[in-house]
Amino acid sequence: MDTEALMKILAELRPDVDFEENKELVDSGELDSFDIVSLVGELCDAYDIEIGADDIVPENFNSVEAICALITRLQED
Amino acid sequence: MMGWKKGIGIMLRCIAFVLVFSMFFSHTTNLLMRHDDESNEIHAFYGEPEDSIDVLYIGSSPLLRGVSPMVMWKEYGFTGYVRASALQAPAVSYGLLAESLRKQSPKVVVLLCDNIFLEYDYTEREGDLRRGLDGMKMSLYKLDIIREVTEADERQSALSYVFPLMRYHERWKEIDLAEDKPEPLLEHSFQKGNVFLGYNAGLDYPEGFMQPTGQPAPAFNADAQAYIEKSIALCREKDIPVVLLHLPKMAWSFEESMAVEQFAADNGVVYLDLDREENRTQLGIVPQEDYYDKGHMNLRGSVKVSRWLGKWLDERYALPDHRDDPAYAESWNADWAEYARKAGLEE
Amino acid sequence: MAFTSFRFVVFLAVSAALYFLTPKRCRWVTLFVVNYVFYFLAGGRYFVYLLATTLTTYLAAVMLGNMASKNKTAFAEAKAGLDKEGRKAWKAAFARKKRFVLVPALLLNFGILSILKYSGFVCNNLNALFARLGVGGELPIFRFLLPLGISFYTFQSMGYLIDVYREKVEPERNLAKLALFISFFPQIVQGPIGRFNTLAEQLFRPNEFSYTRVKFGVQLMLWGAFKKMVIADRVAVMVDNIFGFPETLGGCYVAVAALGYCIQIYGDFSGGIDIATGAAQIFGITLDKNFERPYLATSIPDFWRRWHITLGAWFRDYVFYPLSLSKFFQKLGKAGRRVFGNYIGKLLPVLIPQFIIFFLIGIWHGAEWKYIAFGVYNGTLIVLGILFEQPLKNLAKRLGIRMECFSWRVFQVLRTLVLVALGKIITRAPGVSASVYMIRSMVENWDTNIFWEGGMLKLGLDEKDLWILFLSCCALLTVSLLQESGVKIRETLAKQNLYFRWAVYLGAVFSLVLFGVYGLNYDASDFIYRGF
Repeated sequence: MDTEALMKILAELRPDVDFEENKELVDSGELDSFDIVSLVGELCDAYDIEIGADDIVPENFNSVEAICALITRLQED
Repeated sequence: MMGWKKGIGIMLRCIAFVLVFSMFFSHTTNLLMRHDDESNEIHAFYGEPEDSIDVLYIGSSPLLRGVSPMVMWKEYGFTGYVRASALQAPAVSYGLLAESLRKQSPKVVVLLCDNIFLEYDYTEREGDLRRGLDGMKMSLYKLDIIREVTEADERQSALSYVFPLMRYHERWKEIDLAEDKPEPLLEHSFQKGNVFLGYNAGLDYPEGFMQPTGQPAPAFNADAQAYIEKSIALCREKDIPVVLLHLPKMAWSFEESMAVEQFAADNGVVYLDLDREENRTQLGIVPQEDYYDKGHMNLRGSVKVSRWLGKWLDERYALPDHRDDPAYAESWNADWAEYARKAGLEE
Repeated sequence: MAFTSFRFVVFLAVSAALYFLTPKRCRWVTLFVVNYVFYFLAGGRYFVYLLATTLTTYLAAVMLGNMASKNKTAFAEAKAGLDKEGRKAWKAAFARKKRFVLVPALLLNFGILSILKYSGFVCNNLNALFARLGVGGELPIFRFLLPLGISFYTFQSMGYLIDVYREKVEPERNLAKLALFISFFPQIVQGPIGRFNTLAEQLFRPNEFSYTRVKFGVQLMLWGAFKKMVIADRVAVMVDNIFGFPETLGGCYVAVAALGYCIQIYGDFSGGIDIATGAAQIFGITLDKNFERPYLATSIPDFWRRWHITLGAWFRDYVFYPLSLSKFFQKLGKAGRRVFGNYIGKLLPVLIPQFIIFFLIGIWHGAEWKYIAFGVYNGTLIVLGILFEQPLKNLAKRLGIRMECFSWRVFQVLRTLVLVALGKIITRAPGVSASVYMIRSMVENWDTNIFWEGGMLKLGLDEKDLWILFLSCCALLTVSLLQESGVKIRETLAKQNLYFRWAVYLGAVFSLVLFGVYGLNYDASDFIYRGF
């Protein structure tokens, strides 16, 4: 999977967040629900996937790795 | 699972904490509780030695003001105690009697009967209930009263009767910590429940006092009647004679007097009405001198009443004379001395 | 059975003793029985509503679970023969099938809630409308008494059902266990709203007795009772006196009342939650956090992340995400970008659902116009906050205002507090027009004699009460600041020596007994949140 595109999306969304280091993006409150919705919109367009409300759990968005895993899973489904 | 040793340690610590807590709690209760003469006097009854009281008086404020066991001690040598409080609820009277009879076996029980006509509204009379109950130790009898009160008035909580601090807690505002010291309830009373008042109202009997009016007597209150009957039954069970007493009071009528007399006869007890013409004359009550207000004797009246009533009781029930009994004399003579001093009577 | 009543304390002590005396295998059964006894004692006549919700939730969840397991095997067999589009179509078809079970269950349960809570309001307003239009006829108005905790247990059980629908949790196949999850007595009255995946397991497992935990639980309950009885119920006297006469008192009074009401409702609600959480802790159960020092929030969204957290989270997970990620709003967002440009367009799928959520949170609080106004007020603030976030940041930069310092943070906190307090005026005032009047008088009629001419003392609290109120608020603020900086109060206390600890405990209990507002001559004001 193309991590670079993902990092670019993330950086555009929240330039102030250190996505490499932070492994608790949601649990620490760094990403709020608005960020998540915007991010999901971008991801759906970029990777041609469908992320539903049931995929929105902190575990899926807490780190870049988790987000990658989510995208990969949805692409394979 | 925690070890036994640790468990016992924790348990001991909890018990110690509860003890310390109770100490503070009762200390604070004593500091904040409103002290009425009545609660003190009712409580001091517990200080009397077992089986030492010959006559027990139970009822409302006319007794509190009008009957002095100390005068009777001085004159006739028998002992007595008045457990009275202002507008005592019939349930409280019964509870006090039943509780008293567990430790004392009086030769006579005197019940004040005026309230048999009274509709007692618990929601309106919290203060009077407290006066009667705050001095009473916890017992099944007290719990019965509390249950009856809180069932009738849901604003009042049982807890506040069990722990009066819960009722008086807001009095922290009135307390001056430098001045007010915690005051436990009285343990020994020199006046044996008789809180006399010196004031003279200078009254006159109302017109037609104790004359038949032709009107029917007011009906008894069913609850009050039931409690008096219950009290009589309890005394009968213990083989103690009962006197239904009416003390001088200007708001009393011939018809009421007759009704209570009939009630006493029906229940097989003696009725003594001090407002009946023949008794009044013997007592020598002077309305302009002996009344504190319309409903109560003042000190002067109470001494007259007590002398006469003491004689009446002494003769009728052959009460013992303890004046030379070393088990009584010291304590009762000391109390008499204090009573006489406070009341300004001759020793 | 109010949380601060002696009966509740006795009930809790007895049920905890029963729980730990029960053999481990059956502890959850004891808990279940205790819950139903509690519900029966507290609001017996309304049992049927709780049972209806429990049964329908149970049945729907089991059906969904069965469908899911059947679908899994069928999909595993068919999977190889399907391309990507085929797999998508299969999923969509299955989701549609599941909705035939989910939607009726949701409609039924939220329907019961809405009819009980809102039918009076709706009919009243329709009648008023008919009268104005000159249409004859009048709808009958039924006044329902709300079953205890209905808003809370309905939300909790529907959250569970949606989780099952989303295949996040396995359906509970033991009816009694599900009933236990829906009726846990510390939280059924006023929350926090629990989630099946965190709460259920704690309820079903046999929890061991732990002295430390029980002690912490009791401490938290004492603190909650302090907030409610010493602070909230005391300040309530003053607040009621001002809100009772909105026309006669000037702006300063309104400001004092608004601040007072902020303190009251926080003390009352979070106090109740602390009691619930402490009570649960005695049983070894950790409830979700419901408050995180809301008045230290730096913005309105921050406030809503700290205030009634479980309700906000519920709306976020079950309403906000589904709405804003729905095809409709995603399309709207794309269309919006073309019309309004990237910045606003991107925000549309967030802003509109957000507004809807606050409308719902508003009416969740009660069936009155003022709660709708309250929802709209908060929704508007949030939307404006987002829209102007960037421009304001730019402005601050241009003015050279430093934003990474303590003073700025204090400014933010105060600003948020003022906005929140204005919102509280809306919910506390007798009606929308009264609140408008009160807010206006703060601008037009700044009557300051509340401070100089003993005005404070005419509001039902004497000087000593005001001192107690002030000191206890200071204690509350200190504790909040300590917690905000990461200090764990109870753990820190446990490390102190015995004398200090006992002094603290005694002080806590006696300040409740002496300074608590309770007993006669005082209306036992139940928790404000209970009826919701």
